[in-house]
Amino acid sequence: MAPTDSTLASVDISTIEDELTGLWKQQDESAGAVLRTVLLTLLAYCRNSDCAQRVSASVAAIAADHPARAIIVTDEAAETEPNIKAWVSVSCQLVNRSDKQHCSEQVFLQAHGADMGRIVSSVQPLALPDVPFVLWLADGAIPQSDVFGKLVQQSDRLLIESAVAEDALDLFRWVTDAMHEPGPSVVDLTWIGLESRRLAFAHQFDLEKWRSMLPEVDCVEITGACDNGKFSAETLLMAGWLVSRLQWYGYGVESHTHPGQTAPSHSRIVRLIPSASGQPVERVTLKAGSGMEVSVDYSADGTEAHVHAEAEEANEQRTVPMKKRSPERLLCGALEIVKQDSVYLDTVRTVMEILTEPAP
Amino acid sequence: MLDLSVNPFREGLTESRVADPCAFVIFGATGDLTHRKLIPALFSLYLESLLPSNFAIVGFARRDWSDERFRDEMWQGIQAHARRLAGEREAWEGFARSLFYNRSTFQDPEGYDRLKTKLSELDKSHDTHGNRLFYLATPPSDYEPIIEQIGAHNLQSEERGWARIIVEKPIGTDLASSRELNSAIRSVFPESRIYRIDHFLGKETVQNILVFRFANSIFEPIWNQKYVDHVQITNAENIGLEGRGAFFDKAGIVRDLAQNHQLQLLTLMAMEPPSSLRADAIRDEKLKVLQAVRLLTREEVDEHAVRGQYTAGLVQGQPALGYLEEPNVQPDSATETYAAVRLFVDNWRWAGVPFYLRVGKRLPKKSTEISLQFKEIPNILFGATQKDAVRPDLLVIRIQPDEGIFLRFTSKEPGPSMRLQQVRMGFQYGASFGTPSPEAYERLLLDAASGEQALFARDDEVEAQWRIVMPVLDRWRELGRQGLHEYQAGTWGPLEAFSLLTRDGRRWRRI
Repeated sequence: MAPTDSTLASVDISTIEDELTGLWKQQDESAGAVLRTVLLTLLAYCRNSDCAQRVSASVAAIAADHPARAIIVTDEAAETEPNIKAWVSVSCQLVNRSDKQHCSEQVFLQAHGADMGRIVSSVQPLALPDVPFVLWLADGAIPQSDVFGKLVQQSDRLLIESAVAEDALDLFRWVTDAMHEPGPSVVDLTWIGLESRRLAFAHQFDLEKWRSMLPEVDCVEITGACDNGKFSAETLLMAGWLVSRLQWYGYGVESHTHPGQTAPSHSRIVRLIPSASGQPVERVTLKAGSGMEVSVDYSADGTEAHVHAEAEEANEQRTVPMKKRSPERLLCGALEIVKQDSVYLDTVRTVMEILTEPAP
Repeated sequence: MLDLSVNPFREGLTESRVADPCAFVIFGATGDLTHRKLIPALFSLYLESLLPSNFAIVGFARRDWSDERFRDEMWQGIQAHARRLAGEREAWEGFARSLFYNRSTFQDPEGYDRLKTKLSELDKSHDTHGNRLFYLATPPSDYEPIIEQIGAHNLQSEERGWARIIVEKPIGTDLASSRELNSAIRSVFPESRIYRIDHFLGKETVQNILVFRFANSIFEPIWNQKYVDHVQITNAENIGLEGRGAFFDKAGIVRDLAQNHQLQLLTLMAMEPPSSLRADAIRDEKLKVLQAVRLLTREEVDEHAVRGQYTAGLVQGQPALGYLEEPNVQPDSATETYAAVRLFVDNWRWAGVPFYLRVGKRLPKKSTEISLQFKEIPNILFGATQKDAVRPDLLVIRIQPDEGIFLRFTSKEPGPSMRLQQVRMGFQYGASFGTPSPEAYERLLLDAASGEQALFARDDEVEAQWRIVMPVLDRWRELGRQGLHEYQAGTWGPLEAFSLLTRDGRRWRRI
């Protein structure tokens, strides 16, 4: 169902609340059975209107699972003419096989050349009481504002998407710094998206026979997307995950984008190889000097993984189905995580290590 | 130091619980249950990556099928009944490579020799670790010969891995046969390895009863005789016999649904908080409730229980046959298709609170729910005109369909005068959690393959359930058709069932 909009002249909280009440009334009168539930306040930060539209569509799509009051702030710093626009919207979806509708409300704030601090202080009163407050850096950009920093600390959860960040390294660094503070739990949509790949890989090591060989592993090899010498966040996260799970301390990094950047003196190597297909993560391999090798090739459509495991007197091949999740399902998955994922934090720390090459 | 006792790559995955490697052996593999429920559930677990890569399924049945035929038939079942299907043909190919068929009668020792050889081969080819999960998806009359042969061939041995058995309800047809069957199973498998399955307990809403009661502080303080007036447990079906005439006519609705489903719901509603979520901690508390249920004497059955049998009528606009006209039903059958009973749980918490249970076929709609009606308030505040508007608060836990929890309470109508109105506050699973609930069998198979027994009934629970219903069944058998009340298909049961409550100044909740 198309959203019902109402444009406002300024950021006036009571006007926004009144407009929302009016829109709900309109829905109640026109649409029959309407379920109005709010389980969280979601403040999304975007730097352009494309991002704001994407967020708006996602929030509407997950309204049945995570009905939220969404506040979408667009910080178009490139615009020089100071201008703040606000509008509200109610978007509804039919609940499965019924004539009931699930509706969510959205408040849009668009700031051109304005002070983010002012915007942020304006939106804080819009956050609903008693429900989680989730801050979403929807295009991977980190707002450079003290006020925003405080808002991060006040939020319950911080949603990021490292794959869309201009510089994943910057984002990971910011996350690792933020982790030292008491603050929100950080959920990375890109990490959630890797779950099916990790699960497909993990399968092989349910078998004790293969698990017992893990201490022998001396090479972790990831083939993944690489653009201008920078590996995708997915590639880095998979590498960080494998190395941290193997509990390696001291290893070299060999990046095939920089052939000179090898570390032959290390007994353990992390090897990053650009993929020809451009897939975020195409192949993951663990190797050992003993001849043991477990590799997983992920299909381009993300629906299955082909596992090939080889060791002395063993040669196994199998195809493992993978769950392919839409961006909306990923967002749902992310919003369901309430505790900090310590494996993710270890992974990000290891990514930072890999990117800064640990000492021998 | 890397801990290799667990898979380090599984930590932190949201779907971290994966079944142990094992071989599932399904007895009765060509039957309806396997086709409609078991294989679709196992396939869903496979798609969700909740089965380990090292699993195998061996179908065991009489029909002359090959591995290939078994796979083809199961694929048909998947297409018709699986929860997830679209575009899964390729995944099915991978799954099907772990499916095998062993043709044999349930009595033939050679069939079990072949099974034993096959399982040893699968330990090598599919790395199933010597773990076996036997599933008896057969009529109960086949249970004992199968268990005997499993024992005779030492298939239950745990020398190389674990061996567990899943037995479908009904466990016996009365207390004596239930004891006999339990004893036969225990002669081969210890209780810790027996999984008596009732798919009802795998439903999310049923599991949520414990969470609702014990994870929220606001309900437990009022969950007792001081505040609760009475409890109603309804299990209504709009369908008739659906081809199960021969079975149902021998069993009746009390054996089919009340003895197990309804009494399990009663235990979950009435039990004390368990000391932990361990299987035996929960089952101990459920058993205490069953042991506290006041057993009806022969005379009390006539007063506290009502039975009925449907006659021809209209159900949701469609003509429905009367019970006696249904195929495979004896023309003078005294089998009950409706039962209502008033029970009391004689313990501190529930002293004097009636639990009204009703269950029936060919009722106007399908619904399973539990409702707690709270006591009335002293009616002194709102005067004579509004007295009728103040109705007792009601909490409803709906198991199916539209799983959810609803609270009915009184509110003031907007306006200048003090007019009161009943309002409803609701939580719906489907609306609050977007992800569809897994099928009950998925959860239960995963539990059994992971060694988790909490959702399976223990032998003493099953026997205690039989002990409660036996006086009723015995009395009704004595009476034959005398006292069996007719009700028209598509209505809410015989009038006498309404009297059961109106005599107490109460009435059945309109569903």
